[in-house]
Amino acid sequence: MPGGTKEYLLKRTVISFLMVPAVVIFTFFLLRLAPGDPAVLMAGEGASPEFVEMIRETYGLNKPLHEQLIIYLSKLFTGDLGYSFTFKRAVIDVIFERIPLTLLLAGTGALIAISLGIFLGVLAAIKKDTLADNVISSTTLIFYSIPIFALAQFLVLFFVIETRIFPLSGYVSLGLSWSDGLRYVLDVGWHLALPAISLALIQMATYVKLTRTSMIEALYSNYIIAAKARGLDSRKILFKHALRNALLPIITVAGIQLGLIIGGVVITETIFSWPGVGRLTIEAIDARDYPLLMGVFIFTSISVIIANIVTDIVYTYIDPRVKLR
Amino acid sequence: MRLKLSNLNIKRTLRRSRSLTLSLILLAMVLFLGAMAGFLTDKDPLKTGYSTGLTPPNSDFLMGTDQLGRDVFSWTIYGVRTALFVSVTSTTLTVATAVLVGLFAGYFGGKPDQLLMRITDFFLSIPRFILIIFAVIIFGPTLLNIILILSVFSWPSIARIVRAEVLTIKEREYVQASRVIGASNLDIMFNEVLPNVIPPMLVASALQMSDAILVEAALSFLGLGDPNIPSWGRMLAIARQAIYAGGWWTLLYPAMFITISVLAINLLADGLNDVLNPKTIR
Repeated sequence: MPGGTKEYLLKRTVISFLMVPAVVIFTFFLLRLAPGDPAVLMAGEGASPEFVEMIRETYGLNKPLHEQLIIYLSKLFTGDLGYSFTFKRAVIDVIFERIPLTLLLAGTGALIAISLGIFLGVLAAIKKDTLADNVISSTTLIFYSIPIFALAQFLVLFFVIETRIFPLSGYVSLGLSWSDGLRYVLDVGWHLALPAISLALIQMATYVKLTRTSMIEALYSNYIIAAKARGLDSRKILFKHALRNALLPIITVAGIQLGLIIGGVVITETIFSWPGVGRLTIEAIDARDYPLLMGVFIFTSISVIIANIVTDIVYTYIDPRVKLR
Repeated sequence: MRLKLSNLNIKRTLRRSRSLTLSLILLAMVLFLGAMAGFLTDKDPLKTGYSTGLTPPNSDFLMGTDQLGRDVFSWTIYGVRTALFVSVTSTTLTVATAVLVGLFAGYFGGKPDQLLMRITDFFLSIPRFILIIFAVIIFGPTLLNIILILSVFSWPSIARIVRAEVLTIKEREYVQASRVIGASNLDIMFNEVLPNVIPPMLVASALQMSDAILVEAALSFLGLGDPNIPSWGRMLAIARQAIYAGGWWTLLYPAMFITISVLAINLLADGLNDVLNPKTIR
């Protein structure tokens, strides 16, 4: 690893983490722009006057704005994201409960998209300008242009309503639990299929296009020509040399995709009633549960920030050519 | 060095880029239906009760009706206007802001540049869609608010692209040459640097347009669109119940229109890239 890399990464990481308080302060002021009494917004419409007063006291909402901000920040640093009046529980608990299911869904979707995307991208690059290449490129472009709320509904129409191959909604059949072992896992997988495929299909085009471009670039570069001249096995050249270099940009894009796919997760979870953080966002919106909505917003922002840092670090480690500033 | 549109031979350009040709054909079709909506149907897209319940497509209702008796054809072709209005206005605002900020930050550097970089860092750290949802709830789901919110939360990443371009362009010889002969900073910025930022901006604008169509539709799908305007997203929300009663037409037609529009604009971006950047690998 070249000298200075550590300093560079440290600087990037510090800047990224400084974004966390920035996000919180931003959210704080955004809520102040909402019409109405912030104490009522935080307590929920229809809350008793006593509860509204209690919220006003705890958050110091009758104090000057800068004091309010300090109270709000200090609460957050102790992990107190507020109280969700729809769930009658602490916001942080409600969110944490939903995280595993969202990770499962988004992770499976990304995994399918990346592996299928790389496979099709390599295929398109090898068969450049043939029928196969054209079919792959145009199909993925169409999937790239379909909004997920249309695509997911087509999947529901064909695989749930017409053929009943996959279940309608939820993440597991009623009555099954961890104690059912393999049956439980298979059942969750069966429920997971359609939402994960929806998420995968809309992301796939990016990976196909990226792999295809960088593979073509790699295949015509000097080191590959040299490898061919040395008489290396063509399969070995393809996978060991060309693909390896072509994969680098994929890592960066996968990191960026995480921020972009959150909107898709919200919509997919809504359509398939998948009880994750995305569905929770919509529940918070429908109930105008501001503490919960702010909590989700801060939580997803922190996830994106962490993903950006991890992407930076991974990328710097695997690509020795990364230029430092 | 400057891009002159008059230098581009249109016939040759179209032959070179199939994407561009296909995109223009698709866009012309969609635009025609949107522009002619008033002549093509006499039904009010938002009016309920044209039929009793879901009606499959027939000669009276080309795309059928939804469960409240709204005409899907009228909704869909008036929806073209909504989608294009939102995307064109918000993209204009976004790109104009991004070019101005990026140009000044990149050209002068220093503190303003640092500030721009931190602002873009900030916007890259937060999930834009959730932020947009949050803002729409707070300010209210009117068409104007949606357009403004889209622009406010979209310009930073484009400004960053402009800045990066400006940084390389301002060191080029022809720019230094005009500085030597005494051109002012504003002269250089707008006459030498800006014209060379335009080609990459055209591609970014096209992508911004398709993104705006998708975000508006997604908001409407989630019930956060302007209720007084026919949006493809809202018809797709209506389809959520309708498809269970056999009403596939409420899903198919609006989905087709939104996909074709977004596809056409994405192809336009691809085509522009082919034409403006001769080094593109295809």
